[in-house]
Amino acid sequence: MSKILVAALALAAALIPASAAPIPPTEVIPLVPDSTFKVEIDGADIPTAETYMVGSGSLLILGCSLKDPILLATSDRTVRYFPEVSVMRDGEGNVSLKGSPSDPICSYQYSAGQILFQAEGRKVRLSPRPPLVGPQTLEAIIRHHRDYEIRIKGYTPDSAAVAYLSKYVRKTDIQIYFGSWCSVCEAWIPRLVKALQSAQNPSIETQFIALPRNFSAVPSARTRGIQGVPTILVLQDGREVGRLHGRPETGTIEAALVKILQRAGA
Amino acid sequence: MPEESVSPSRRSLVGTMTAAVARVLSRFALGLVLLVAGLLKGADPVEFIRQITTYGIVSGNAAAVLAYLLIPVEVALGVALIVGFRARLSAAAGSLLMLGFMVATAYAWSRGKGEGCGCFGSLVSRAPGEVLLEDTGFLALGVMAFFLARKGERDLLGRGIVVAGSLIGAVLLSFTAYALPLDPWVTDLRIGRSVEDFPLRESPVDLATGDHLVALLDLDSPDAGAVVERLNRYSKAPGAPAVIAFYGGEVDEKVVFCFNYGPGFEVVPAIRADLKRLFRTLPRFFRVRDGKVARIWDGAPPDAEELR
Repeated sequence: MSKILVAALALAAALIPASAAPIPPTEVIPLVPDSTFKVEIDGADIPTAETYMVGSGSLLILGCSLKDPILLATSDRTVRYFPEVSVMRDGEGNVSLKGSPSDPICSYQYSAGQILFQAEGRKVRLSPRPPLVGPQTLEAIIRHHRDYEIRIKGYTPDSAAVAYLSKYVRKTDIQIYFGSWCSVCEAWIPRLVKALQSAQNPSIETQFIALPRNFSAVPSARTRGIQGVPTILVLQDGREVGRLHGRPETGTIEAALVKILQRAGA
Repeated sequence: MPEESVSPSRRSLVGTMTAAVARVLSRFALGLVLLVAGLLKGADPVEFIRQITTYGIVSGNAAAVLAYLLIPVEVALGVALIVGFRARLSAAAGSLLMLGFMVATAYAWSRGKGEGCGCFGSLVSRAPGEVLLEDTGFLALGVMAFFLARKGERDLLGRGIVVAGSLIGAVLLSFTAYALPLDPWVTDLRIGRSVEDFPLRESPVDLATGDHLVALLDLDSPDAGAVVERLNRYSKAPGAPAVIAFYGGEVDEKVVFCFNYGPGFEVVPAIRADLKRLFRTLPRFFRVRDGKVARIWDGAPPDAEELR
């Protein structure tokens, strides 16, 4: 336990200066992979580009076909090179940094939800990644939008609903149709996930199906008659026994799910 | 039992009275609808321009010109119908206006723009289908008012002056709206109101208990960075209310914003049409104590002293 605490403190000590100052310190800094940004250079998507958070205020861009990896620091809005040799990758794919970045090569502009700068005469643009589409795991959703994780952790589900869900014996599939772009989904799906996680009932299985903004033509959405997101289908023996659409009229989303299960019978 | 006979003169009197009531009611109802709708749009013309733009028919300056023309026309027609000025002409014009709104709504709906209309500013938000149904009813009132309108009117000058006054008033309203303290009348945000009446059910924290400073933000505003900086100071200050921010938009819009400005508080997306009920201009801030709005600030976050 104390080893974990020491490790956590060491990690925190390493990250705090990185977020406070534009230049990370010379000790080894483990990086957190980020999958929220899309990188474009001269208007073309760079699929090989990887982004990593350095603390909370800097972003490292690897594999973006520039001379060296790029470090963006929000504290002074500068763009710097980070020598390729300073980026270390272990056998498990974890990436860390050691060393110092270059002097600023330019400043970046923030405009209309995008970050823009020019390096080596090329226009670099960072914008949010396109929405998730198709079947997803919870881990993939969290990688795409970390706020899902924060919302799941921060939510205290209705204990009566959790108690019911935990004892429900009939095999049930819950299909969650959502949009990673959708604000209502971001609010309500983590609450449902937390309730189902708390119930720890193997009889209830959850699937996530991410839909694009214009989902009316998506076959799976059309087949299931999805009119809006989020829509949560409750299936038993392959048959739909109920659905939740949008935010519940009143009460919690887990209580609304319990009502459907009560109607379907134990 | 013999059937009760009704004399022709009595039948005619009943018919005349029914026609008179229908005439006044239809005229008055349509007039009131147009007047209220015009005033609400006039109180927030920028939102009306935005709503016109979402219809996809006109945009930019054309949308602005149309908005600033429609507002006084709607108000003046409403007043003309209420006071009975040129009743037949006003009813015809009111019906045509309604028909125009219906065509625009149907066109926007057919192109997949489902936001609803800006018929009553941002105070009432409905789906396009509901709007069309409602407008059909208003159109029926207009047609009824047209056919029942009496020929020959008295005091034409006096009523004309009232209508002209309303036209001028509406023009003035739409050009000075944001300098006028109209928020308590045209938004739902008022001191003493319960936060449970607000469209903030997406909030990840329970606003019904404790002390919160709620910020309504425009993420694209050039001042957003300065606002976040100030709110960050409050979010760290001991004894200060917990800060939470909402914006009308999709989840993706906050990704780069949060990286760039590093807010030390939750930034929560909400459906814009819902959130719009709480503001005319952004940013807006309000303090919620135990679920009730205690104070409201417009334009800039409160000073630290005000939060003590």
